[in-house]
Amino acid sequence: MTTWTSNLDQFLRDQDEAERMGVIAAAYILVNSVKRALKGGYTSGAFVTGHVINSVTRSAPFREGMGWSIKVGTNLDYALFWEIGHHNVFTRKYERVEKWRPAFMDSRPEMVAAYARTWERAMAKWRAN
Amino acid sequence: MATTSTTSLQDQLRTRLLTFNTNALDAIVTDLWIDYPPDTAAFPYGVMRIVDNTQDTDYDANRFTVQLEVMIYGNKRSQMQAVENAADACDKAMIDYVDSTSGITWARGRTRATAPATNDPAFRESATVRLVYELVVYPLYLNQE
Repeated sequence: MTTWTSNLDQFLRDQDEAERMGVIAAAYILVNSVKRALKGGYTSGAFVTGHVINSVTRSAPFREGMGWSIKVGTNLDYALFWEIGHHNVFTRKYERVEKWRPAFMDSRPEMVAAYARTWERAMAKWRAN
Repeated sequence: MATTSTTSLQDQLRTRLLTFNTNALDAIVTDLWIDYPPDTAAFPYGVMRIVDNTQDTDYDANRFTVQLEVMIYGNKRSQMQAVENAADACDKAMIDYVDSTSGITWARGRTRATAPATNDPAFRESATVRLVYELVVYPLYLNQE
């Protein structure tokens, strides 16, 4: 006589971990995409140094209503001012050069693919043979 | 009112933002520029853009979603109240916005954020609020009939 045992709890735990790893993989795509965009500088290159490029980072994954989330950002205020526009102290003009939003839009398909790839790899053991 | 082109859609939204309600935006800001203000623009002013135009694949090609971004800028902290009031006027105009006089356009989402106190390379004491409205559009210019 055999005893039936449910693996559902383990499956849910593995799926949760797979989702967590998936958002990390997606975040790295965006981190790299933003760093690539920042390499050219804002207007002349004079306003961007390795400082801002090296500050692009990701948060730890955190839970929200829909599941795991993650943030990509920087702790440097001036990156924000360039992104949203500002009256520039040096050029004395309105300046705005977006880097983050276009990088996000451009890398969306790649982020989705990275998430899917990571999730699939993490859940491979559950695949029916 | 027209959705016969992207620029006419911009004009439609600009008119709505500037003139809706008694606390209209045009009484608070000096102007609402499209895409980029001139160097001579007087504060406080607004800048609006349509960004991230994405096609809703579930609805064939004639419906799309856009983000309408409205930035309100002041050049000193004493203008912060005016900047926030201008943002309120934008919210009044765009939340629950529906227009079916030319194609169909409606708003279904909004985010609002006040920028932190500024420092280099921005002038100190700048006051900035960013608003983003998500709009769904069935524009006339994609109607092939």
